[in-house]
Amino acid sequence: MTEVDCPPKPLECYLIQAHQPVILKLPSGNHKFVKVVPGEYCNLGKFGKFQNDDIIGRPFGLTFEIIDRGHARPAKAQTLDAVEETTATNREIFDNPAAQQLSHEEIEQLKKSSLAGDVTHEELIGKVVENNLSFEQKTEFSKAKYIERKKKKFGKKFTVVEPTLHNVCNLYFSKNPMKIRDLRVDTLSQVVTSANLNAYSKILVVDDTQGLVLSAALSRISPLGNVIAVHESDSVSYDVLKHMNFPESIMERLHLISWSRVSRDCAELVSYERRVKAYRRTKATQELLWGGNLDGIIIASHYDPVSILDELVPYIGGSRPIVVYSPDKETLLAAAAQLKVKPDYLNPQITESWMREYQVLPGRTHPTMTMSAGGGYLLTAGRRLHIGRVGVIQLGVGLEHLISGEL
Amino acid sequence: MPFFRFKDTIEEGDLVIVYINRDNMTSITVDREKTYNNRYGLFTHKDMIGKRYGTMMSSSNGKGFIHLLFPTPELWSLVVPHRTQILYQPDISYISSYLDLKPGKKMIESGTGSGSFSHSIARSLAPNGHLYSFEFHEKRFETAKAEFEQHGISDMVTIQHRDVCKLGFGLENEVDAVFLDLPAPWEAIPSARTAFRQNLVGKLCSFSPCIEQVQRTCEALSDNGFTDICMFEVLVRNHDIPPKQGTKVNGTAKPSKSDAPSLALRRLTQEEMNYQLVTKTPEECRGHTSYLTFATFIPDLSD
Ligand SMILES: C[S@@+](CC[C@H](N)C(=O)[O-])C[C@H]1O[C@@H](n2cnc3c(N)ncnc32)[C@H](O)[C@@H]1O
Repeated sequence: MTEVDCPPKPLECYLIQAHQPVILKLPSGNHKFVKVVPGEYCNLGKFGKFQNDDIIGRPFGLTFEIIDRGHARPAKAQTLDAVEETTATNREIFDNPAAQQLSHEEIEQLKKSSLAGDVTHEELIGKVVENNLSFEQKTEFSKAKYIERKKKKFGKKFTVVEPTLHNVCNLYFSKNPMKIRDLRVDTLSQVVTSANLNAYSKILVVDDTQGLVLSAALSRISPLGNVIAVHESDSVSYDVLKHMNFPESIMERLHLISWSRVSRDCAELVSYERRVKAYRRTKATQELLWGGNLDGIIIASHYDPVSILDELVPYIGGSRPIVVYSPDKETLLAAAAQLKVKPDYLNPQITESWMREYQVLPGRTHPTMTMSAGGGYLLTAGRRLHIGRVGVIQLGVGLEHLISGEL
Repeated sequence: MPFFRFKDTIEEGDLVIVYINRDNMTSITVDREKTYNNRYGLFTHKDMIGKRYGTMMSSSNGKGFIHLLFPTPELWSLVVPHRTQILYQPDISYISSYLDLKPGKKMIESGTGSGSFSHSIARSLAPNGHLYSFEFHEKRFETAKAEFEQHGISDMVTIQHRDVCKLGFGLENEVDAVFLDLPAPWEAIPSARTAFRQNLVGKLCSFSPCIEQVQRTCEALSDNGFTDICMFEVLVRNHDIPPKQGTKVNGTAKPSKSDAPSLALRRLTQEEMNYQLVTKTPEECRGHTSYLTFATFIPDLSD
């Protein structure tokens, strides 16, 4: 395939399509994965439900509002509202549940009417606010906060978020970080650049993050690239892939191979009549791998990185990147120390990622009060080519960095 | 061929990263008439031709050596001649991820500055995407333009000499993403709005070192209908592995003065490296680059 043959993405790729996996951002601020099955309802629990057909064909990132009887229509997304400070203070405010004049039953009744579409959620929130005796005494900041909280509780607005690598990683990280081995999105973003992933990459991936790292590779190649994924001998668990939305032309570039088929000494493949296709595929993947000169390797595995590299590094081309992710530093430390004494690696380095989010509101900008404590560690190195042993080469003054361990 | 697309063997005219050590790298364009030299010796370009990327090369007197590396955008950011402050890998990575850059996408950046960001972005958008880059400083514009040509990316990077705050980007309904690295980004935001593909959702990032700039930017973003305004800082810290040499009481690895040169002639042995491994942070590291403000462009669907 030549460069001209690689077509620009059709417009439809940016629109929500039937049967596609998407992420919904709920009024509560939580996110969830759903599949857009046409003709079916999407149920958001206490926030109501809507017909999937109402969102199909719309661009990603739009905010919708649930209206009467299970329908959704595009709504205005929230913008930043400046809050003018007034003379009110928090001095007179006590936590007083009795401040709310509506009874529990009355609120429940309002919620029901709102779900049925008889009352808009603005009206509902308005009622709750009106009937809160201490509302008027609140400072403008606390009023804004109060309304914000009620919106999260009674709101009807949701956003359809595109399942990009960034968004999918964030969702896993906040809900189920164990599954992706605590790989935070800023670290993942560095994996992508460190591995120089691009349209043409012919990249090797060893992934125990349920396919998150694999998804990173797939989201950056074009139909001109190749991704070889080495997996456990008896099973493949790349759950993340089903939340991504890779077109067929990209999925065709993914080549799976199990550890038992990696070694050149592994048993000759037998072609069973029934499984000719699988046989051909494995054979082709082996050829791609053994052909060598691959454009890099990314490892995010439970196994000792050095044992993996010993097996696979011969297939990596000169000067190509080697990237190893680990949620703990010690694994990488042990590995880096070994890479330093092996002749196949240049400049092994360990880095730790740090990221901080801010609340940005007019007059109220500050770092968020809690933050993720760690985003994991990366070990990166370059593939060094060598002829014979390093020790044999005449070395001179240029070599301080060898002993200082910097090579 | 774009310079980030890997190749194996060094040829005349290639851009090569000369790696001396982690803190000492430089770039050269191979010209068989030329010689590269550093304090470790002379290295003739002629001898580089035909070598494979990733190999070591000894100096002509055999006293020193260098490694010859393929120029990835990440290495380029480390050797690029600084005409301005530049973006480094951690910020570039996070921005690229947030803006969901990938082959086929189109984006705007301004200003081009030293082109550090541009190279990484071009790599991510290639081969069928496009980067529109704007720089109002004439000399920087020309240098960057020449660099893009030398590096074979000029067919997918259009650079314009233009004051984007005064004149806007001059693009309509064209891009998926916008990146602003300007002293007054808020002045460019109305024009950014027009440049987005009007029927799709788009992403914008503004990169500013000062919090006051962030506040003005957020105000402008909000006034221009952008949503999901949020802000991050990302940094990376190195953990170095100091060499351990004979810290055991009965150790034999501790070199006496006279042993030192021989120690200098080899890599650390496996045993030496395995002995109680520790890491150490460098004395200093980057503490702040800029605040990354992101926002979402929402199409007007009032139909
Ligand atoms: C910090 S540098 C950009 C560095 C670049 N991101 C990099 O990674 O190399 C900012 C650049 O913006 C340019 N600039 C400032 N105001 C501008 C304007 N109104 N229009 C176009 N360029 C502008 C400056 O000349 C400067 O080169």
